Amino acid sequence: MYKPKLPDDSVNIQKESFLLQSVKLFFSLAILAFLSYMVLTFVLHIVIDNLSPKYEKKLVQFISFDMEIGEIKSDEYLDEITEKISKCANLAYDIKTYIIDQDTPNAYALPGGSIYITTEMLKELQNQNELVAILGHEMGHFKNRDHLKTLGSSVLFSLISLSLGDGYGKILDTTLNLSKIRYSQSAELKSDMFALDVMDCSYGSVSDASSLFSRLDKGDEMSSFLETHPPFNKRIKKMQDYIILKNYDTTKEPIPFKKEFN
Amino acid sequence: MIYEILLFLILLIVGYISGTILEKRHYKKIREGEEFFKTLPTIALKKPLNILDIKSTRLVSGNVVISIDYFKKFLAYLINFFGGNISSYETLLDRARREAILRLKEDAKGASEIINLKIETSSITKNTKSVGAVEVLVYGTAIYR
Amino acid sequence: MLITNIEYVPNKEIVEHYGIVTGSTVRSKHVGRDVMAGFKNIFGGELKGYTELLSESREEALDRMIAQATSLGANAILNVRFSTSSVAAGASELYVYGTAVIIR
Repeated sequence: MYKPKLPDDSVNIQKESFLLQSVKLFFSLAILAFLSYMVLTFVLHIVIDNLSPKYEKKLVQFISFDMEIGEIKSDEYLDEITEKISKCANLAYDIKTYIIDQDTPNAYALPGGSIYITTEMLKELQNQNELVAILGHEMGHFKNRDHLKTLGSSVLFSLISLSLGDGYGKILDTTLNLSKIRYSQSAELKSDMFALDVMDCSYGSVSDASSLFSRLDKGDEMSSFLETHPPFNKRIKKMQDYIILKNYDTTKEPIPFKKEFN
Repeated sequence: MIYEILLFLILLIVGYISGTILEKRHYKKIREGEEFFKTLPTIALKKPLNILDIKSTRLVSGNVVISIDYFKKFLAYLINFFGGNISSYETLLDRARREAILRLKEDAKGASEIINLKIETSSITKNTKSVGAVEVLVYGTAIYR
Repeated sequence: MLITNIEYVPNKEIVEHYGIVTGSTVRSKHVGRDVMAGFKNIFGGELKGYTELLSESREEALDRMIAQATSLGANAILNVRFSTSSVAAGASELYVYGTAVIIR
């Protein structure tokens, strides 16, 4: 005999609210991604700090870099200056400086121990002290192995992004990017301090160490100097604080250039 | 980069709000329909409840396609990392099944029972990865006395 | 033509029996076809356009099966079953089959 009765209809769906569940899962996932990033970065830094420059040079030969470079030139005068300050920098690297043709003022520290400085940057520099400040800064990056760390960090990002899948991977990617920028800015400041040490050691004076920054600080559109680098006024201030702390001399005349660069 | 995140958040909120409203409304309609059709027996057995006085029989069916919303898809993505029931799709299928059965009963207006109920489910995908919508087809034999 | 999904017809006798008859249609499953469906994927709810499309496909498959049964001279199809399967990327086949008989 058929008895019309409706069954309990809630057995096939869950009781917990979707909103609550999604919030719980999202934060779990975010924390997981963040923690793995922290742990992996920590391990990465330990590995890199223990990697010898000789070995690094060998590895460089296997990897090619994504840079649009025009002609690469070397200059005797540049090499002379580089060698002089290398002694003060006391790095395990064999640093070589090259000139590349680019219309933005920039300088790069590349894995293997090469510094590339752009023709536009050379035009901007007014005296030898400013040049040494730039070279010293790049050498600071080598000391800290920053160039390798940013490389490794990009690889780490790609890995995490990949495992999160497309679409949503990009979103967590942005948040991780922020921590990358934080680290990058502190590394830049550290390099500035190193440049000051090198200048003091080579010339006994840090005159015009930050004059280039003051000039460039006119709101110039140099995208490569934004974001990953701290703002110029902050860098100048930190450098000045350091000069006072270490009691470096700023009274000596800056050394002019002996000749024009090629 | 910031615009992508913003767009994502907007779609998520819109999906959540509209999805929840449509689902609540749909469930209300389903419950009313099930109450209304309570007196029409629908069974999976092959034999009618009463074999006497059968005038005629007819194949009846009902189908529906229900789409996922943006929020539910994101929730399914999160669940995929940790495992477990994909709860967001469960409501989708539950609704689709019950709606299809209601449409079956409407198709069989005037019948005294429906026997040999069969259910077919298939997914309609936008691309090979995510589920876009789900189709449920329900069919059976309506007995007229 | 009588169609039913049970194996017999109440109060009738199977006099002749012709074997399986089938009807099928292949339809494209791409939600991307329907612009509205693309938006619906954000909001949720029923894809009415698709429901109608699939109803029509079903009707068509049934018609094809009936045509086959008629050509055999049958007047009923028993034990009808539906089946859906993925044929190629984005396409699926709706397949209906049953046993064609003459009942009296």
